[in-house]
Amino acid sequence: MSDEAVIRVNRLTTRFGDTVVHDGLDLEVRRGEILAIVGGSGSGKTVLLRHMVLLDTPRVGTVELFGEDCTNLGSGRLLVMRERIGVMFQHGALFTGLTVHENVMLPLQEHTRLRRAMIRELAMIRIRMAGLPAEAAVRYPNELSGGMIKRAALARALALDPELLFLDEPTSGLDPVSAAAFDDLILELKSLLGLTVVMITHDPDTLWRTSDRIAFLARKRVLETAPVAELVQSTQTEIQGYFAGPRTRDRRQD
Amino acid sequence: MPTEPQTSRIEPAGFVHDSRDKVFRCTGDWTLQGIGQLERRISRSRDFGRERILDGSGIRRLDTAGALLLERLRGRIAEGPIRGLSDRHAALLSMVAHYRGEDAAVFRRSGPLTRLGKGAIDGATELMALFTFVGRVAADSLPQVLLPARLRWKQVFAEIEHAGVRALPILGMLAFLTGVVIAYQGGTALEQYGANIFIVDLLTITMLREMAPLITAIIVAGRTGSAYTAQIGTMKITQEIDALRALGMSPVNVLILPKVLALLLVLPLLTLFADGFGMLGGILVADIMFGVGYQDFLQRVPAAVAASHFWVGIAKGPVFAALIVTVSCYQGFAVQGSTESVGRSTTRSVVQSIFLVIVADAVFSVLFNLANL
Repeated sequence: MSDEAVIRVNRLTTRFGDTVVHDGLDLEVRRGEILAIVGGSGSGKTVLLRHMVLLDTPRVGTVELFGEDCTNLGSGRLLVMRERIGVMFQHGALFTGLTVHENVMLPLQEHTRLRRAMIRELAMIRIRMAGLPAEAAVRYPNELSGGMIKRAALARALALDPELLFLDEPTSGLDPVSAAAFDDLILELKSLLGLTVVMITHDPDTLWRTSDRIAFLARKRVLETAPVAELVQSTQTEIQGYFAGPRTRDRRQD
Repeated sequence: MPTEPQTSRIEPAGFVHDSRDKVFRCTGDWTLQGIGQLERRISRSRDFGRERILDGSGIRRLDTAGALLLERLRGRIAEGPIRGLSDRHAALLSMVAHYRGEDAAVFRRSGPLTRLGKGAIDGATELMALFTFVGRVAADSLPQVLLPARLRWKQVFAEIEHAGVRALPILGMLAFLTGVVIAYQGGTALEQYGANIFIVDLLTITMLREMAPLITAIIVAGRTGSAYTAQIGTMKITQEIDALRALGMSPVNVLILPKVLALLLVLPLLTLFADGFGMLGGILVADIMFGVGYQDFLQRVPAAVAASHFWVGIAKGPVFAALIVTVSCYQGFAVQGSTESVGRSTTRSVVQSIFLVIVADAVFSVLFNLANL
């Protein structure tokens, strides 16, 4: 892991009406790491993620990706940025009118000038890489199980060979076996493709197994960023509270 | 961790042919953004000769798309492994090779005969499903209808308001305009023969017997039928229908029966309303443009036109209502899975309702003709 920052969020302040969600939030994501964002409900995890994937523009503060300030990008630069990041949405957000294969092919058809045969094969490779059987490629999203939807969404997020991968609750709604397999998949893809991964998760197993560092959101900012083993030793009351619960206790004791 | 050049400038992928030692030297960025031109070039070239060696030491960046192209190239021109790849690039290449597979079988499409047969079976199945649906609704609703106290009257009245009261402005407007048009077009022709007074017969029969029921049914199908399909379809996707069943409530009683009752009642009433406004439009045109005063007009109506024309028009109402509500509720329940399916079903619901309404109207014409009504 290099110390170079791929994402840098500076003094981000967001509010909805009178509710302040973030107040001068700072965050740094390093190249090649898996950073997990945790925090209680309403701590602004998803809003922070939306800023980092350039769906929301900060009113106050800046978001830098790959060392470039993305606050005021023109549409051309924005497109180049978007091609370098992949997003897997919490509920998959697959296009329901397209098969899995067409879902994965769509960004490739839109943003590359490769021939169709090449795009088809590339999409199939993504689908297999995400751990789906080839037969699933011709199915529509409503014909897939929850775990398969997550994998299909991952395949689509990987379509353009992104350097940065965002996962919003990748293992939510999965049974423990599927969730563990998904964790393995993320680790494998990260090492093979050299990805930097930012994920929101509530799954303690995922935190312990996959994350290199955890950014803990509370009091409208990132309270602490540290590997999970250090974070459980933290003296901050919020963090202690989070990790003292029966579900999030130190997994190394098991 | 691998370190790749971080400049965002793209150096297009390419390869240089060194004929002396029969080596292809790959250069540049073999990435999704870099391989566009090369991919075309490679796919266009037919023959690269044999016994060549691929050298990957000049590759600056490699991603899975580039690796796939490299693999394809290797399959075509080289026999041995690729020389000079960095460890990371080699790992990526072997991963892509690992995930490649024969996919033709997955995408195989069935032949025209198979599709024809499938289409026929699908059509027959849908027809059966429609009949099953009608039967189930009838069986479920009969006990409810026999016990009027247990009906959901509140919902019935709400449906009457939505389907009936709120349709009044647009229906009145359209019926009025139709009356104006019929009187004007018919009147112009009659005027040439000095038969202005027959405008009364023309307008009354056309309006009461055909136009008013048809316009009403078409508006209700477009306004209310589509809303029924979309509502039930969305509830099906969000599992609200399942929730109703799980809570021990019959979707037929909660969703369909109030709609059936409301439309059966509302459509004849709306037809009556359309009759009134259509006649009004016609009378105005007859008075202003063709010199048939409204008093003459109204006096002639009972004399020239049998009351059966009016009753035939009203009697069509409940039949059209039954068709519309059956099709729209059936299409709503036929929604499956995706949001797109709601849109498709809604379109189908409106098209089929209007189609059936017009077919039924034609059948009515024949039947009433036979019965001399």
